[in-house]
Amino acid sequence: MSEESFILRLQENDPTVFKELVEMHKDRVYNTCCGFVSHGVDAEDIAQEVFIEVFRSLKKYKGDSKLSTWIYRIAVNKCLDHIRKRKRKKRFAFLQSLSGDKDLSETLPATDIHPGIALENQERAKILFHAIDQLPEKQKVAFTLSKVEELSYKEICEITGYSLSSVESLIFRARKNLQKILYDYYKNDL
Amino acid sequence: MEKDIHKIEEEVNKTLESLEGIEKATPDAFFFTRLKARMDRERSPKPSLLDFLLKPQLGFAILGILALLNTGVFLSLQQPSTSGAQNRDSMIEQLASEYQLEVEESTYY
Repeated sequence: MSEESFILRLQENDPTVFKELVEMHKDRVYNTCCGFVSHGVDAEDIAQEVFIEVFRSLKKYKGDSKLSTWIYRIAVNKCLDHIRKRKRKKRFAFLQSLSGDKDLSETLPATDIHPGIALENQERAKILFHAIDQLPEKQKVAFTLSKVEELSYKEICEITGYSLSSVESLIFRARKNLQKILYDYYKNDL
Repeated sequence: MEKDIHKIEEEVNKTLESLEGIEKATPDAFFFTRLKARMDRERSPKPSLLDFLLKPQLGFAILGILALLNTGVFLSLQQPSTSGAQNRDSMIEQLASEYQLEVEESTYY
């Protein structure tokens, strides 16, 4: 089946085609979500939201980009929304802890690690993910898609809509910033 | 000092390389089943105010309250009101005894 007829059948709400779409893209969408949020349960929750959004917005899909690119763009946006929400929650929890209403640890999610990381690298990866979390949003997106998702620069350009030079520059700056954050961390830790 | 810087840089590089060879994470086999259940749950209509108002239990409850109110009003209208006149007589008698007055029966011709 060509992509055009596949999309047409999707837009007609054919349930078997939607199932096929989910089976085709669930691994990559879930992996993208794990790269951004690390927490397995949250990642699955966001992955589900991505497919619900895909289902709802199929009628609006004009075919300007490949279907897979469109889906990953939704996935990245959903992950960023989740991170923003989590940050707001953290700030609110901090204010609550200042006013003595609630303990900070009660409201923050438990730290988890990407399920694909080898056991011997988990401690270091946890520190790295914490550092990635402190990067500006665009750098975080470009770095995660490149290093965790292992996407090519061209694919990152298609998903984010940034130019090739922007992606190169964002990844370069992200690496520099990460070096600085990690240097400060180890300087205090060692 | 220089040794420390070298050690820190080594740690930084090792940490940056910790993502090398990362394996793809995959959801479990029941991902679609859970997604489908969530979509069905979200699609099912939420109860509206009209649904609540059209509930037979609510109708019967309102009818019951109205019946009770009607019965109360009906019973209160059936009883003759004598207590007001009795109160008035006893008050006059009390005042008369306080001021040592004799209450005379007034006769009107």
